[in-house]
Amino acid sequence: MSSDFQSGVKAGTSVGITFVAIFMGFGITASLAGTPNLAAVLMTVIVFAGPAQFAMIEVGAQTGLLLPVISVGVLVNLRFLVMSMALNPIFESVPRRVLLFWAQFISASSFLVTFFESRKDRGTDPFEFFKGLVFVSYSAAVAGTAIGVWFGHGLPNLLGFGATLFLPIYFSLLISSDVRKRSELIAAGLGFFLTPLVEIVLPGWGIFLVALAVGLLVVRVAE
Amino acid sequence: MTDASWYLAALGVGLGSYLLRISPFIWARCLQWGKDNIAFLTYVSLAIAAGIVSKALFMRGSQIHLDVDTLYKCVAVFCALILYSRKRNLLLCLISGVGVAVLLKMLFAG
Repeated sequence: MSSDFQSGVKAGTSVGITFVAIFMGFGITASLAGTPNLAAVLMTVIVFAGPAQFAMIEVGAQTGLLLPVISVGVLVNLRFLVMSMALNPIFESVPRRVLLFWAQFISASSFLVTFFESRKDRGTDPFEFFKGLVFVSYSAAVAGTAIGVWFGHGLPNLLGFGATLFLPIYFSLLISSDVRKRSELIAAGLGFFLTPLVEIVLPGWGIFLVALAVGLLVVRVAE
Repeated sequence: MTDASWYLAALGVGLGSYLLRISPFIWARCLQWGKDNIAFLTYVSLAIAAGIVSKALFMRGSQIHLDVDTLYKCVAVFCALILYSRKRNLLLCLISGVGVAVLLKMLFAG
């Protein structure tokens, strides 16, 4: 096991704790909506994208139709296009056939933490780091879902409250350590303030649309 | 929805998401990546990270939700950032931040 893989595992610890909490919430929601327990776990195994999975459950419970569920799940996951585009230059040396397997594990967290690590110029192999991170976060997501569907109803609220804070605090610290230029600070600031506003108007699309708009705007202004 | 439909939904969304995840690795390899593209993707990444933070702090479902829990969360993030500016220890600051929020909720939630 390489040291870069181990660094990824270490970085993935906080993501993993958050994923257990988030996917436990998904497991409980799916179970309450009447989704078979195994189907809920299968969703996490195959889809591995919390927001899309929550949307699928909501639409499935409301409409009872298969096609709208698939459409909403895929549409919410459109952001993966941008994430894979951003990871492409970082994983330039990785053979394509290897990436065709590992791309399945790209999520907002595995993408962002790897992206921030690659900017630190510490000589880390970003792909090994990504694999370590995925090892922890994917296992945590599947375990969290299983706990949620089978045992989730009896867990204390305070535990859930604390666990959901790992991700926002972790990303705040990453941003604070990673922002180097004024234009980057502006991009982060705009993302912070605009995302909730767009989410109200277009639920599920805020992060994706704001990020694209901010990227285009700041590049243009910085030019 | 029937049990079989839920399984089919998982397979359908899984396949669609997989295609979204892999397609840039197939077609974007043919492109030359200029400085502007890299800068654009950097800004996009920072905006995504910041958006995730603000969504987690201020939103519940698809609505902005401001209550005492929001205050605890903001205090926790603020404390973690202050501590991080002095200690530069990511894990310590992370656990301290979460600890502050849990402690506040325990003390003031009755």
